[in-house]
Amino acid sequence: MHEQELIRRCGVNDRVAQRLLYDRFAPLLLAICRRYAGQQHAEDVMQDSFVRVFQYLAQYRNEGSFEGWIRRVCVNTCIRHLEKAKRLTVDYYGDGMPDMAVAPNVISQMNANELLTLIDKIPDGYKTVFNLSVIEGYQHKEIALLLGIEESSSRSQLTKARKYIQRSLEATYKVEL
Amino acid sequence: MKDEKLFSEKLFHHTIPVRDGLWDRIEAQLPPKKKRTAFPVFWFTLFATTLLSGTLMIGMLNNRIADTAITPPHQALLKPTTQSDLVLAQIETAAQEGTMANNLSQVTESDSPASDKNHNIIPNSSTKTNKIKHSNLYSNPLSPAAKGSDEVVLNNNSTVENNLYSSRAEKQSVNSSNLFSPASFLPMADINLNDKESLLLSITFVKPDPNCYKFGGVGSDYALSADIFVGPGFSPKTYEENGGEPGYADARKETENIQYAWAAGARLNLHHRSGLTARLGITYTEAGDLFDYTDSLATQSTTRIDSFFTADGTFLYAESSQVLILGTLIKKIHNTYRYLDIPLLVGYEMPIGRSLVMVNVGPVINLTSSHEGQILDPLFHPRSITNGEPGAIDVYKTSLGLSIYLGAGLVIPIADHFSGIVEPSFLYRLKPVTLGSYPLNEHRHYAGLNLGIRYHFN
Repeated sequence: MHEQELIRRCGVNDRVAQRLLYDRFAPLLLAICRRYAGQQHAEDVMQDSFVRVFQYLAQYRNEGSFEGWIRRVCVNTCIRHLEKAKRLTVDYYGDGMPDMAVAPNVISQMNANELLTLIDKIPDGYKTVFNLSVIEGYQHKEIALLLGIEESSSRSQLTKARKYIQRSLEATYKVEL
Repeated sequence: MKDEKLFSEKLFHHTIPVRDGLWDRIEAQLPPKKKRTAFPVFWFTLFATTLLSGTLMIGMLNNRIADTAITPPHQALLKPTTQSDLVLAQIETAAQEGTMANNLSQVTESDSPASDKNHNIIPNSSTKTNKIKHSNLYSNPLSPAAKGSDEVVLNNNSTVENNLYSSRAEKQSVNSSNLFSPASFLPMADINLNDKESLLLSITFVKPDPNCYKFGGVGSDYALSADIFVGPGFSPKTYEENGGEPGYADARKETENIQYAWAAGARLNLHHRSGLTARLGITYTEAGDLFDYTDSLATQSTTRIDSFFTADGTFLYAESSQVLILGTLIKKIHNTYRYLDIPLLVGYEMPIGRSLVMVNVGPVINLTSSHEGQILDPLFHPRSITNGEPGAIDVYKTSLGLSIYLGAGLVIPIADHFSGIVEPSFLYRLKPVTLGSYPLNEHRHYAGLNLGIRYHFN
């Protein structure tokens, strides 16, 4: 079924179409939720994301890619979930950490699951900014608006997330430059 | 980090297999079929149509009243150029000189050839009736009501039966049909002027015809006037998603209730004889909303610091702890949105009876806008939108660019140089009032009723 037809039918509560849409995008959304909310809450947040997708599908105006739209819905749901769970509070962990570099080949040799595990270790506040900025490609201005923080806070949290990853890699792989 | 792109490459399209059974949980939560919120075009159209219809009805009513009322032209601004004007001028002069009856008979007989033999001037005060009969002392040639006549109780002691008719009406009656035969409805002019003041009053306090002073100068094609107006309105707003969370628009709708709107302004009008008019002015518009927010799971966190001392007062240590208070947060805040605009309008004015019907259209340039209050931010938290306030979220543009103005209304003569204005109008803002980077596009328009005064310059 063509994507536009699928979307149209989902908009009128066609269960078959909704199931097809779910089958098509569920693995992607689950991975996104896994990155933001962690293994424990990923399925719950994904479920909430799909409910929102179907609820507001009528507002999708066929502008831009549908995957981009559904991804944004999912990301926003993740952020709301973290907000509700008060997990966006940032602990200023690691002040004074040295700014160490990591050997380039370390990350390139890691697979997606290993990277997810690495990201999982980052505190939620830093992790959200890291996910939004590095993986989703959001600008700091957008992140600030999305999280209700200052733009400068977004930048500093990203810096701290990077440092955290560096320290984790260094501890795990004994990499030191 | 040098290898940051690797994270994106490996994780952006990363997928995780979904276990069975998740769909059933989702399906159980799917909402029932949702009605789409229609864009309130229907209400805009209904509002504009109602106002326009009302205006036209008032215009038609005004037309009837004007045609049947005792409304000779405004002497101060209209030079007597037609036969009927001359008649009236001489009536007034005669009244002032106390020789009304004689002059009137002369004037009427000499200036109204179509009725010369049918007019009987009876300078007789013996008949006491309480009535003054007027038949179109000054009638509009376009008006079919020129053939009627009215009765006005003026004074118990004065009896004036005046069947003067205008030269325009006379031409109609002669050229068109017997319906307008002067002999049929203007048989006599019976004037007994015992009360000169009454007649003078009826001449002095008259409604000026806007046509009289629109192009007062001989040979002048242009006239100037100035309007000031104020009036109530309605400022509807609509939302469209701009990359934010889909539920955000609904949350905004639920928490913001439109309360009031009004506008005031002034403008300078340059009228051309053809009816075309150019208008330049300034308009201030204000709209008010009520931000109604309730958070039943609100928490308030306070820091408690306990300091410990020895018996002799020496400080030992301090402990700090966070105290979390659960409760319901209720906010009811009046939001205010202010706009200052410059309208550059083109209008067309057409006389209907003694009034004018006008239609105005044109661009409106927004000079500045300001906002006060609170709204929900994209994370569904109440945030201030007041310019310059600490913690305020940057949501709205300070300059909105171009809008389109559409208005139609009536200009009703009131007194010398002054007319009343009734003008339903609609302002359509072409662009959202929100910033382009904001995850929700908010459109705010304005429909209102301008009530004002027009001053006609000589």
